[in-house]
Amino acid sequence: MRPVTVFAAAGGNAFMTDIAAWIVEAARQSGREARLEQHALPADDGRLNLVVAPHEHFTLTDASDDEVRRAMSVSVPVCTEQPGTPWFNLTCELVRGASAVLDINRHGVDGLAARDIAATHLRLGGVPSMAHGRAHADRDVDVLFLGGSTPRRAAVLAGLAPLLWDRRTELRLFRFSRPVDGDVPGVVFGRDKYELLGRSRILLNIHRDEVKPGYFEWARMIEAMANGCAVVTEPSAGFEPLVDGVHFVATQHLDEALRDLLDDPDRCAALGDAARAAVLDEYPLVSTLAPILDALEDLAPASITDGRRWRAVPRGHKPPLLPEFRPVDGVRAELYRALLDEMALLRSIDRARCRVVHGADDVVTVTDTPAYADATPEVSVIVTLYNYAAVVLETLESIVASTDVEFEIVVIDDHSRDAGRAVVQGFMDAHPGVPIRLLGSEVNRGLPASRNRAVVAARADLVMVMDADNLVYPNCLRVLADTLAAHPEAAFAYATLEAFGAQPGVRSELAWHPAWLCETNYIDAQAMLRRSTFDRHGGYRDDELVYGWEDWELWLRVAKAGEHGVHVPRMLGRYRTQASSMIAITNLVADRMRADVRALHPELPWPEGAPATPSGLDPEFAALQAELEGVHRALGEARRRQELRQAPSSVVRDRIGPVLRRGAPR
Amino acid sequence: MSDRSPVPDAAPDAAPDPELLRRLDALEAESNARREELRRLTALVPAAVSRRAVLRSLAGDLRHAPGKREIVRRAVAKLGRAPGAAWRRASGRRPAT
Repeated sequence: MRPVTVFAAAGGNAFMTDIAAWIVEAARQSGREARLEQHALPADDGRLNLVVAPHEHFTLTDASDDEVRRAMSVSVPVCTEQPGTPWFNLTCELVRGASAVLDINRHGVDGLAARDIAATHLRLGGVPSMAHGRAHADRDVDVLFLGGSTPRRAAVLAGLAPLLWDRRTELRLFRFSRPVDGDVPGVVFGRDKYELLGRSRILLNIHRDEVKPGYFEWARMIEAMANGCAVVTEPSAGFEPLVDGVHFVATQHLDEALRDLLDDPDRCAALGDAARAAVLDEYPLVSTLAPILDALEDLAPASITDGRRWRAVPRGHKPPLLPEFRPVDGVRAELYRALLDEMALLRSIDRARCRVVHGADDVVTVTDTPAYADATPEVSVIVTLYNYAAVVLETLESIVASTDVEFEIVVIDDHSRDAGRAVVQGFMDAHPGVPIRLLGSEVNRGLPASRNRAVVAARADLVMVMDADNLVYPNCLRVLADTLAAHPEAAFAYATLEAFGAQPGVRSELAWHPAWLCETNYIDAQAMLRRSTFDRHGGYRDDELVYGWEDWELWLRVAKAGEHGVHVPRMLGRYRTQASSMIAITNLVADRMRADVRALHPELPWPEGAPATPSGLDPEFAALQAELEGVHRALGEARRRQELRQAPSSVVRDRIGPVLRRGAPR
Repeated sequence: MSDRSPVPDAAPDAAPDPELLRRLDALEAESNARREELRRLTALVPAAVSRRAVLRSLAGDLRHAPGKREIVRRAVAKLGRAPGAAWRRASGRRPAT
């Protein structure tokens, strides 16, 4: 019998390496000598060369096209990708002309056949080293999800949040803009993955795309079943010989299926046991691999006879020839500038009005509930409010519903134009026993300044940052506080958020990873920070350079300092999505702002490329600003003259005198 | 009952000037109107444009233009001037007026 070498790319996705390791193990079970190879290309050495995920192994190599062509001619590709994806298309280009092709999914076999590539189905099954399952009663994870983050999966998960928030869930999502390996936090492979599966009662499977009939994700299913998980999946095809309802549950109503199984532990355990027996005992991988290897025993190397000899080997996605055509970037930058200038103008008007009405250009009124003075909170929840009268009540009610935690609420109203402040005051009157402080600013100062002011007012060592339109589930504060207690080195903790409203999905769903953080801000501001984190890093940056991205810039400072946040992979909060927002304005000049933020923290692992163009103040608005500054100065001078006439001489000498000598403040 | 205590650093010395407040209100209303207009514009301006769509649009405009002959004549003339214009730009000379 010919010995077997199974190839998987060293720099590829680690779950491909897992599949390769299963094939090696099953080949050995069939009586063959077998080994795993991750660095070399297949050679004509008399061995059977099975190449798992050829679109990775042949494209991530530095070898020349000739070397790759020679390697392909002596390989049996094991295709793993779903038809319809760019990776499947790449696979098709690579494997055309191979002597034999295998695919781990019936859909893949059909997809290859549609492109005139004959392939054999290598149905995956269990191998002994997978099994690490505990008894169901000892499992500490109710529902586990493992998979790349796609909009569809995010939307489906969000719909399950009302069911899952108080269950012990592990929603392990990851980005697959780059190959995922063992260094990516939150994602586990090999033995770590099997142990996680062995601790889980239910594995939830959601298809990555809206394709019907759904693709049965054999690799994920098999490893879960081998560890006794009850698998709940969306409807799929091509799962035979496994039986729906006996070895797994396929349904469009995931919430009902999950609830039924969670409420019926015996049925859940029985489903898991039946699945484990099926994939390990009835349909192990060796039972399908052995006959395929026997059939390949006399396989000869493929000959490259057509024009492929002269054609370049495809090497992954081709980058576009030209950059994106953005003829209106200048207009967008001017719109952004104009919006910021209008905002600054509005704030100047606020200050002028405040000075006219209150005699000072920054007045904050403080309102407390009776319970506030004596409270000794473990967590301060700070809520920034600006024009959210319609929804702030919902937010406050969600916080007040928090369980098992001593908290206070600090609401800062950033001079809302609507009735938001009155709504909060009404809520305080209705909840005298809840420690709440309302800071009412008579001047709009912007989100970061308001948050910083609320942090100063907060009394607890743990500060939960919230916006007035977002919500928390009742266990959110407790779980995040416990997480920070369990990770004393962490600067902050954040949980996955269920996005609801205009764009359902999930946010803050990925684990802390500075490389991902440099690609995009995936951690929402709704997080629990230690007060000491604010003390060390100075709070949110309050300038136009990072307008709308203040939270991202704070996370980047944390990363730059070598600190980190801890992700809780459970949906514990709710994020309201709307058609337009502050972030949408920021996106007008996203590239430039990203370049500015990058310039602030060049030490971080930024992705390649980032443009930058500064812009000046529009002259018309600058003139208006100057006019208002003149009003301020005039009012200030009048005020100071009045004080000089009335103040005792010591006050004039010690406080006002130096100010006048320095000149009028701007 | 809540304890509501204002903490400004000082109370105003006299009743606010109603005319000044009215002018500030008017300024704010104008600013709000401009912001709304800017937001509407923001929603209309795309981040990126397809080159194919631009070319198709140009071709469509040309097909329906009444003075096709004049358009072609000007285009040819512009192309003829292009080398000179490029040379002047490269050498830093002002374009001929």
